[in-house]
Amino acid sequence: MMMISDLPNDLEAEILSRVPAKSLSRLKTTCKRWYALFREPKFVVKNKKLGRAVRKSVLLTNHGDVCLVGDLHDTVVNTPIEVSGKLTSLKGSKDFDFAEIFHCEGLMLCSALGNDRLVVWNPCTGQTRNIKARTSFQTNQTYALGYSTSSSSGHSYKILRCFDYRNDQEVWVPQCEIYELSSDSWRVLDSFPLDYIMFRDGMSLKGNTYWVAGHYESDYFLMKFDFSTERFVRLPLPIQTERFVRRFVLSVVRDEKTLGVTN
Amino acid sequence: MSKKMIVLKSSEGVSFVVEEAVARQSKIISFLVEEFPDRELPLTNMTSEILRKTIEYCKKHVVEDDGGGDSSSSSSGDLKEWDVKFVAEIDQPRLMDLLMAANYLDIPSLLDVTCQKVADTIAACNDEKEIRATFNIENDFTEEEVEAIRMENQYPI
Repeated sequence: MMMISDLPNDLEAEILSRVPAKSLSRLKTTCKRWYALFREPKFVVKNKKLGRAVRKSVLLTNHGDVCLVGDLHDTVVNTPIEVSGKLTSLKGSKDFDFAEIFHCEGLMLCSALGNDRLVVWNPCTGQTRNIKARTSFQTNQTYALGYSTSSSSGHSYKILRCFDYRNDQEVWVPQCEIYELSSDSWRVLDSFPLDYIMFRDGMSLKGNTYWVAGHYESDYFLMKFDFSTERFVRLPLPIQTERFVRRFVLSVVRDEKTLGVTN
Repeated sequence: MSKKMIVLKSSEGVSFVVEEAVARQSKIISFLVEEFPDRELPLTNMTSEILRKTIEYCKKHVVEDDGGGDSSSSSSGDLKEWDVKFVAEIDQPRLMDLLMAANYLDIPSLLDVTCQKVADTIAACNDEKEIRATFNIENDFTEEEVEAIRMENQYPI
C-alpha cells in the first residue's frame, strides 16, 4: 500500500507546502524528514504562496481589541470582514489597554497604556508571551521588536525600549534598554546620543527598526536601530524638506525588501 | 469525422480505448502519441482501477475543440465542485496512487487537486500522533529530541 513516506521527496514537499503554516508548526515533530523540510528556505517560500496562511490582516479597534481578520484584498465591498482570531488569551486582559502595536516578521509586540506590561503575540499560532518591563511606565516611552542574526543560532529576538526618566538631580535623561526573549532578561544599553525625537511608529525591516527622527521639528533624518550591533545609525532622508515632519510615512515595500518614505 | 482514439494498457493488461483529446491532457501521453502514432501505450505501473479513475478525470476536464475555439465541457465553478467530490470519494491509499499517476503522466491539474486533498487531511490532524496514525509514519524522534525542539528559540513564540 502506497503511503505518504513512500512518495518521492519532491511530491511529499508539494503536498506539505499546501498545508497552512499554522498546522505545520503543530506537526513539525512528526518525523525528522518533515522537521528538516519545514525549515528549508525554498519550502517556506512555496508554503507562503500555497499554504493560504499569509493573507491575513490585523486590526486594532477603538475599544482596544486586536483582531486577526480575513484577506482584505479579497474582500469585496459590502462583504463583512471575517474575524478569525482575537487577542483574548491574556490573563486579566480586561485591564490591558493597548497603547501601541509594533509588527516584526509576523509577530506583534503590544504595549499597554500607562503600565509596564508587554505582550508578544503570534497571531498565526495564537500564542502569547507576557513580559514585564524593567521599570514602571515612563515618559516618551517607545518600543520596537527586532532580531539579530547569526549563522549558528539563527534569529535571536529582542525588544528595544526607549524612554525619558527623571534622575536623582531631577533632570530628564533618556535611557534605552534591551530585552532578550531567549534569556528572558532586561539590560540597560550604555552610551548613545538621544538628542532628537523619533516621530511616528518605527518600521521593521530585516530585523532592524527605522524611524523618521529630527531635532525638534527640524533637521530630519532616518534613524535606524541595528539589533545585531545594538547601535543607532543615522541615515539621510531621500527628500530634504522644512515641512512638518509628521507628514512622512515609512512603509516596507517590494516583498519586504525596501523601505519607502512618502511625504 | 470520427474522433481519433488511442489505447492505454494497464499493469494487468486491460486495454482502455480513449479519445486522443482526452488522453492528451497528460503531457507524457501527448508526447508519446506524436512520437509513436498508431501504437497502444502500456502503462505498466498503473493498475486498471487507477487508470480508470485517471481517465474519468481527464474526460471531465477535456477541452473540446468544436471548430469555433476552445470551449470547456463544463463551467469552471461546476468543475471545481466536481473535483472536490471526485477526490472526496477516494480512500487514502488510492488517493496516493492517483497522485503518483498524475505525477507520472504529468497532468498538473489532477496533481494539484490530489495534493490539496492530502494537504487538507494533514491540516485537519490535531497533533503529530494523529498524523502518524493516519499516514502510517514512523516516529524517528526520541523524547529528548522532541523536548529540545520545543525549547528551541528560533521563533520566540
